[in-house]
Amino acid sequence: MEPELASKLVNGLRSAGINFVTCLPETRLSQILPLMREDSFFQLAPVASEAEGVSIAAGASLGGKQVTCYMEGTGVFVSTYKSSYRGRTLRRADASFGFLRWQRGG
Amino acid sequence: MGLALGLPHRQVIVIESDGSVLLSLFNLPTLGTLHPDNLKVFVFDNEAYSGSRISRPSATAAKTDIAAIARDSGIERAVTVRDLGNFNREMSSTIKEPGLGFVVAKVEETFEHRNAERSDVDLMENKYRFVRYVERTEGKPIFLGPG
Repeated sequence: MEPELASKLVNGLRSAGINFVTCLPETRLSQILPLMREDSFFQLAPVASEAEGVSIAAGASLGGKQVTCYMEGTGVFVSTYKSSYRGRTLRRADASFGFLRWQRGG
Repeated sequence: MGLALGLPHRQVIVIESDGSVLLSLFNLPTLGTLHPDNLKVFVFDNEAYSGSRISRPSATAAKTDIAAIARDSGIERAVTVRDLGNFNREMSSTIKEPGLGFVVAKVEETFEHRNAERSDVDLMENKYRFVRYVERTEGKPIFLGPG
């Protein structure tokens, strides 16, 4: 990823008020991680599974954080069970619960 | 864990079971790494998958030791208790003392839950109750509603 694009992405998250990010690094987007680590606006939570990335973000959301989950595309499938459960309990109209992942075109 | 990380000035208590921990073992190294000092975990380990009609042994009925896995995952203060006296002591010190706590309480399997009345609170209602409590006690809005 071009450094400029990584910077734009991180600035976009910041502008959207995202201040809590769970992350499981992958290849294409991981250049955003050092930028977020250096920026005290973001609270980063590295996880061992995308499923717990969703769960931890859900808990932080209930505490008032604006959250997003950064994972690779296949991680979305790993987190399906947790996402469906958290989706039922966490649906909310006013705040984001985002997934940040690389979508390969084709 | 998310709530503890999001509200680091509050104490958060988690009540877990052996089946639930075994289902998500990857939580333990993450917990050991993030190490939220305001989180206290209590695992009630009945060594069984005890459903509404079934009772089958879980891995902890054999050789799996959840507290040992937790310790080797970086949760230094992970202990197993096997009687009420030790449980009361560990519960009290875990809650009073600062730092991440992790207590595995070995319990007998019971079947009381088979007679328990079903809750009339659905998940959405439960969420709003919980978040309104957090809003009230934190003095900040979390759910603002549409518009």
